[in-house]
Amino acid sequence: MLCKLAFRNVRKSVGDYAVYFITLMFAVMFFYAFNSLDAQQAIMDLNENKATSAQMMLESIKVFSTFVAVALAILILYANNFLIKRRNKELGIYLTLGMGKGRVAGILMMETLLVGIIALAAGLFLGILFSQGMSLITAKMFEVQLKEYVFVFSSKAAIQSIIYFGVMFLCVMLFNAVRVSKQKIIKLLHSDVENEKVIGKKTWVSILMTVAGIVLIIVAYYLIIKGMMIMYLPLVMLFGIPGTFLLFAGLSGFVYKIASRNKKKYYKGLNLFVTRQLTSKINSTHTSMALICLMLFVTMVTLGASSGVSAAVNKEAGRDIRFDAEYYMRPAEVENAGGGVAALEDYGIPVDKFFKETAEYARYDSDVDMLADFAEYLDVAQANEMAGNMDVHSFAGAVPVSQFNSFLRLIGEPEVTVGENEVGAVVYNEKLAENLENFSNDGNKIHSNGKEYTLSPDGIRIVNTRIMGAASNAMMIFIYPDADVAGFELRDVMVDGIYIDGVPKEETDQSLQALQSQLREENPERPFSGFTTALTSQDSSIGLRVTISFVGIYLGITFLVTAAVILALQQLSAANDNKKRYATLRKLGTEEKMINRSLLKQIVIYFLIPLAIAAVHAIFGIQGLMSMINMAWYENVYQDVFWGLAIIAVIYGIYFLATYFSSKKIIREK
Amino acid sequence: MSIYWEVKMETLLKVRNVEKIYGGKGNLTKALDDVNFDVNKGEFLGIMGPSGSGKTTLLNCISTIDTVTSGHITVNNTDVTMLKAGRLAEFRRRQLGFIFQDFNLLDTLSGYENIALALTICGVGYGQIKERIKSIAKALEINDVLYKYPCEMSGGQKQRIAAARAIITNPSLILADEPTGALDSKSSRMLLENFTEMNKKFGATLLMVTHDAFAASYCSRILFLRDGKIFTELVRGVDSRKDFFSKIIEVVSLLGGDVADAV
Repeated sequence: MLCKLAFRNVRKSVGDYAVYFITLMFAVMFFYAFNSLDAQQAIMDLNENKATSAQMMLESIKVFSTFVAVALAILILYANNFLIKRRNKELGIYLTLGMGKGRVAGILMMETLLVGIIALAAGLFLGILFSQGMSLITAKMFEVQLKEYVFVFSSKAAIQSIIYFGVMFLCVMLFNAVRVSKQKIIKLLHSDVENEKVIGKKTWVSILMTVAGIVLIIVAYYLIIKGMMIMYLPLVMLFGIPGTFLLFAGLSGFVYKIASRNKKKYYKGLNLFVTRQLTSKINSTHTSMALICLMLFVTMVTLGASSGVSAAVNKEAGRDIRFDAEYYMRPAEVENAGGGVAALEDYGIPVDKFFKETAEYARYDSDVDMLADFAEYLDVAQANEMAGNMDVHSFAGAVPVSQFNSFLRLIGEPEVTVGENEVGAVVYNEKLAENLENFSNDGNKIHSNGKEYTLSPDGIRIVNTRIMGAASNAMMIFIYPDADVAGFELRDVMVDGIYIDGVPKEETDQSLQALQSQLREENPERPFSGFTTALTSQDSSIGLRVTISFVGIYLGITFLVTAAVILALQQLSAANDNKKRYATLRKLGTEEKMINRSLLKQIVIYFLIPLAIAAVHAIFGIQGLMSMINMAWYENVYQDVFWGLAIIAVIYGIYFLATYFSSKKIIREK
Repeated sequence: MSIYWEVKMETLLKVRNVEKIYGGKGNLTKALDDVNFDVNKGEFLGIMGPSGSGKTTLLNCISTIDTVTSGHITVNNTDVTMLKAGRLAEFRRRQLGFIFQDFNLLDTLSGYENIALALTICGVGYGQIKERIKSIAKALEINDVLYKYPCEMSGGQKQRIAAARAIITNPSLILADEPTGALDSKSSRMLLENFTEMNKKFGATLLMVTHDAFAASYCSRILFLRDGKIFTELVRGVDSRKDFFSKIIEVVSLLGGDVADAV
């Protein structure tokens, strides 16, 4: 009997269950697809480096899965709450008919179970389909071929999804049972009569709160613009988060004040109705709206920044490296052996066997404080980068010209000549080169070694001197006349090489690495402190990119959907409560068109407010992140950020439309 | 039909052979059965009858919220039974004012805004809105509650705001459905005096459905409905309200049952 009643109820209220069901199904699908990534990558032809980075990605996904599960659990509870509220009267009727609370709770649990099982099954099915497509995307991102097309099914991920969501349904069931057993019949029966409390705070209190909120937020923005985001992140949060909450707390009064200022406009058509509806809704949901706003902000930053960062990593990997391997030699060993290459030979690496050509040069720390001497010519982010990296003094690098020219020859760049009181410079991007040229064109001199050097404009080279990543270098390296570096502190000696011709680079790469790990076992005292090859760096940057993108999408979309669903449900339950108000409007003779327009206005504004505030937050947040990224890596990645934001617009838009049409349907009900 | 009024006044509302049948296929309920009557401009008509006599159905049909099965209802020479769906909203807006038992005020709006809304829907400008609310508020003595929200008002205050909302658009006909149903006796009396005021001072035509003989005694004429038919009618004429009340009680006891319970 119980079962039958439950089944009939679900079928009867399919429309009500739709939001809940879709949300559940989507959650399961998403959860499964991301957690089945390990099964997906098993079918890919990954080399050792890529497999390691894939592992890194899987680990991160695993960590974030817990977050995602918690967010989804909250979401499901919330959606369930909406559903129950809509059916209070029905439950009250069961109780008045003399059905025990236990049995009513039983019906509800049965229904939850039924919907849960169907959603779980459907979600898993969709998840499995979705993960097939995801394998292709993953393979493409890892730049590998699928071994052969196989249907991927991860029983581990399926079981994990079933357990996680099973526990969630159990919570929902218990929650419902407790809810019913605690309710009074009279409340259930008359729940649709109860009115929201609409009287808010005094207007001036609201305005004060809004203004205070805006001030706090502006302080947070200021800290970000000043480029102090990283150092003052806790401070930025300390101002930004309470600021956002305050802003929303005062928003209803503030909006009302502004909207009702122009009486002619306010008393026109349904404007006053729309204003009052919105402000009372904002007033009663300001906390959750602020939360949604912050959630959207996190979404925008993760989606936006992750596409930005992954593009930056991509550009970094694709940057023009014209040699295959690099060694950071220990100065003492080089001195003992009488040269970098000789030290490697002594250690047991037959350099000629692997390399067609090599170059070596020593790198010193100069006594030029970049921050002090070039401050006016650097932008804020660059200056901040230096200040953050190396205490207050950040010294430029120094290389002797003759040695460095051997490196320039190796990579096919024109050599640099410097006169007695001249220096050249090596930087890694055009922006910096431009800054230096301006410095020199303005007639500035570089004070170093107790001398005054002119920066020779022909001596500026934009090249990558390191495979490790440009960020591992000082931002500027000056090329000194050979004799003038003697007084500087020697950092290390670089040996860079190009692999021999005739053999595929991958092969040379592998045999060199194999030899080195073998040598290391025999003799851990290596003459070099660092070794990287261009191929390794590329593979691991692919891994980093995939990880950042996937984690970004995983978290971002979860947060986004959570925020959108909560907004949608809030509006739908509002439409439910508003049915009577719209009926009154109709009796007063309001045209249906006018009513629809007022509904549309309300939903648009209600969806746009948190989105707009989050967008402004995100502009500053992403700006803060990107200025660092642009600094550390290469050029502009803003257009890639745009794609992340486009995804947000689409998903948010879908939820907006769904909300509008369902609300319209609800307020038409008798 | 009252000959006395017919000669002097022009007819505002004509109800002719109205039938309303609910249900279908062997399970028919005749809620209204060949109802005929006229209402003149400036009248304060009461409709009484026991539960299920068709009072509310009649009101709903006149107010275009419901449709008749057959027959015609004409308001100000417009046959509402022939109006197209698209014109109904406009008709309600221009010709009718509503007062409901449960007030139907919008709880997010202040009293002032609730009244103003009826005008903004009609496209009246702010200047006029201000003027009209000012004069109505004075007449109905609601100045002190204008800036309160419905949840801060008593039932009587709410209903007077609703009455102001109904009359502010200068409708041809004000329809009141059990307006005193949710009020205590003191508030009822105040509201009914307001109705009389609206009727006398603003020349509003009122049609009030009620259960309550006391409320009905404020009307100038009362139609009694039973089982969907007009049972009888009472005209106040030159009677005092007290005498009229006694007459109403007589008819009510004649009708028997429900209405008597409610007195």
